[in-house]
Amino acid sequence: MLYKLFISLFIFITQSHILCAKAATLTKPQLIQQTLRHMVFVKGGSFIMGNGGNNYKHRVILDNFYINKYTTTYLEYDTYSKLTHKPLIQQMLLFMHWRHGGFPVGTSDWQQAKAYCRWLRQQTGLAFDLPTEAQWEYAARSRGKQVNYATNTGKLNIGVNYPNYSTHPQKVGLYPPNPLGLYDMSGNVNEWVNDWYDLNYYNHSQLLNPQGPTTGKEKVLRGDSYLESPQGSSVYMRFHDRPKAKRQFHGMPLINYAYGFRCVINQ
Amino acid sequence: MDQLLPTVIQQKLQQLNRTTGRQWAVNHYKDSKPGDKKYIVDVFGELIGSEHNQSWRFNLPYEVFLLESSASCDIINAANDPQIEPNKQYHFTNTDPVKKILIDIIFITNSQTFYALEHSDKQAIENAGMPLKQTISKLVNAINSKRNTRQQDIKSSKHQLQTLILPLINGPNSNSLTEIISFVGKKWLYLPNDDLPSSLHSYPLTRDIENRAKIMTHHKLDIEKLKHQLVKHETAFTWASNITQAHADELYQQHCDILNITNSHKKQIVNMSADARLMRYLFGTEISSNFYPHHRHVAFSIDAVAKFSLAQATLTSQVYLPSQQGWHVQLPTANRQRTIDLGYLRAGFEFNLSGFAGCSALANAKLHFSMGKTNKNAGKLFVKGINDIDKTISAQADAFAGIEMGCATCGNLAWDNPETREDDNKNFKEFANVGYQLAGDLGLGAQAGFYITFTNGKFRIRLNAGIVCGFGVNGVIDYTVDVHHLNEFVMFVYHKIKDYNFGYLGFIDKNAFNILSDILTFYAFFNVQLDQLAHTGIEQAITWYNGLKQNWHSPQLRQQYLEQLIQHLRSNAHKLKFTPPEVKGRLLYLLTEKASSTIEQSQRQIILKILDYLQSIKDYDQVLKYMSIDGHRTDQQHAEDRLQHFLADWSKNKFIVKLPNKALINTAVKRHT
Repeated sequence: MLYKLFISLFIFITQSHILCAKAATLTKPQLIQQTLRHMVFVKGGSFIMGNGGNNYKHRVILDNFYINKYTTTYLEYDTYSKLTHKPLIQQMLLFMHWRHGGFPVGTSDWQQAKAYCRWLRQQTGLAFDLPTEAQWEYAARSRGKQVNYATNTGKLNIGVNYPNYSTHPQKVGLYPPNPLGLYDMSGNVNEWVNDWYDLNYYNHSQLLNPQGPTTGKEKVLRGDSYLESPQGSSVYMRFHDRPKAKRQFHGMPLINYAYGFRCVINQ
Repeated sequence: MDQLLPTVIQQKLQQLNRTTGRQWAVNHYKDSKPGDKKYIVDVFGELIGSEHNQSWRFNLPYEVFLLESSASCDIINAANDPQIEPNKQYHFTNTDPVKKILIDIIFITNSQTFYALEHSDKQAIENAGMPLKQTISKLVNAINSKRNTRQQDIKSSKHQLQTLILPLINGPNSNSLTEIISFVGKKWLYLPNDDLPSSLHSYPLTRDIENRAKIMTHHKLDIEKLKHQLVKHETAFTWASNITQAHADELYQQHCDILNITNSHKKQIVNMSADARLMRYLFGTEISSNFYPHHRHVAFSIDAVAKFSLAQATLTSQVYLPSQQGWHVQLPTANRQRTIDLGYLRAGFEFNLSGFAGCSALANAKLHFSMGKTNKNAGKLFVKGINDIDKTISAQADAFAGIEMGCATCGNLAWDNPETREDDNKNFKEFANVGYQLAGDLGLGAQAGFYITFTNGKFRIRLNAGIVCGFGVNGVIDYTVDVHHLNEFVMFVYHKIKDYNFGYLGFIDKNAFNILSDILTFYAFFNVQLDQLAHTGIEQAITWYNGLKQNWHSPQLRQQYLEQLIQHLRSNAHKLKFTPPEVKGRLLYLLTEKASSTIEQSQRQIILKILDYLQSIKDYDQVLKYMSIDGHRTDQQHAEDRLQHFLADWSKNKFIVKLPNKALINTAVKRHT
């Protein structure tokens, strides 16, 4: 018992130390201006979503929307945390160089991503949100083009248009964007989207602006992370996970920093 | 001899007896020519004729020509018997009502029922089977044709065949392919429906058991009993002479399995499912006039991977390519300067329906594997086969391979696992299943023909079919390592690393290997089995190791991690057996970290256990190179110094002097078995 108390005390001390670690931030206007500057207009239209099998091919029609050309970074998220008086995200990683600045924020919980987009909505009055799964795929495929990867060529060329092997995320925007101007939609980090996950949803998806199932246990993630083989970065690949991550296993912390996100502005 | 006479002849003779007032005996009879329905009956005896309304012409010995269909006869005195007016012709007119003649008996396999057929019935059944017969003939002709429109003809006839066949496999009429064994003439017929005229005389085998009529006894089908049961006492019918006991004997000999199913209540060895019936049809019973499944086997290749009895119609038959003995796979590395020895691999498939047809063309055939790409078929394996040698089989193989619902196969990939061998014979163990399709090309590594990735939470293997299935086979097969195969997969990867003397493996993606290392590290820490790691378990292993890396700077958490590791490995050191150098390096790095003095001795003990599992000097070198927390390469000398510093009783020779330079190839791990 004493031993456990000691451990808890120690963790508290070390965490307090980490809490004191400084993370660079922007001002609110800077964050909003930067965010709006990064938004890319995506003209709506019709496309065939999915590539067969469980990813049942089906037609989808989308309205116009804007999407951030980058996934949200630690710099942006730390600013938001500071402005909303929330604790810094991924504090355990603060001593890692890739926990700062222009690296993609690791939001192990879907709610952390959703809350950020909602906050932007409140601050700007614009319809900021997480992208729907359909919006994400439409944008990654540069308005529904038949490509496997959201790279500049539609193909993988590791180290040239796709991150080289790494044990942690890379800075956003290091490699060429897809033809629509969006970076890192294949590789780097998985991206949360708005939809609940349902394996068979594509079979009965709405035609117009599908929003995903009304309920579910897991949320959809798209794109791919540095943790998987590059082949998994297909724009058709669907991932899914619980919206709230498990924190511990046998009393030892579980840390997931491979899940990021980007926001859209709906019209 | 009388009992051998067709009923119609017997009846006519009885009429002759009544007319002449004598008992005539039959010496013999013979069928003059098939189909002319004219019988010659030699009789002996004395004729005292009264002529009444009949006219006769006798010769000696008396030959009686009986026309089955006209119910009249001519009797000729062929030998000029002096007692009888020479060459006098008598014409016999049957005064009985005209009887319907039953010319064949058929057996419907699904309902296990015999039916008696008149000429018109048989014609109707053959007509009903014509669409299937004509369509497949059209396809065979198109395939064998040399016309410019060949491809177009094949496509259109395939489509036509598919339209006919698919409803027989799926949908509301899925069980409606009627399989018929005939007594006379063509043995097998198929109808694309189950509509038989209700007026037919039928006799189900189930009734035979109820009636205890025992039409089948002592391994014989008694034709007379069967005939009796079919028409019983109905006098309006008579049997044609061509349905003989000989026909029944032949039918029983060839199809005793089918006939005995219900009768004997024995274990069903003949598959009567709709799929099996369809498969027998697909195999070519409509093309070949006679089909003897009881004796006919199909060997898939010369060294007889699997012989397949169509009578048993095991629908999903296990087939190994190229053979049960596998294929020694040697891959060139990406730069083609060296070869990676993958040992013996074997691809197992469960073919069905047209997949089977494709497989039957395997001997010397070109087979092409592909993964389905449509909504329905994504992730399924398809096979096409073209055999230039056996046109009959190749036609079918090619024909059915394109049928969407019919040719999906499943299969597995197995390796010759030296760990599980009990003697010198190979012992193949599965480590992946066919399934899941990877999008797009896999980059440079995949060109080698065998490439492992980690995508969407699972290890995937993309395989050039030719490298495992042998020459003449091409296409691509995507395998998935399911959780229950993870243990075997780990052993496979470890052995390949070992066989390659712990060098870089060109056939596994770096990230995939990192994930494997994370899993094995997690496995070394906790009381979990690899085959119990569900998808979330793998993810948990990854995030857990992330946590360890981030917390390692904390002395207390480090202590906690080390205690966990020591406690688990103390009684589970066997888990280290199949860990590659990258994982051993990680563990050594962790264990050489200073923590509380209370566990220092335990740390040393576990380090020694790890070193005990080294297989070669190269293995030791590689372990040192990867002695870091995240598997990055490190300075080997620095790592060795760290190890030496931590171990109180260090002597390099003590640990590695007995190690061979190179680990043994294709053999079990000899140390610590």
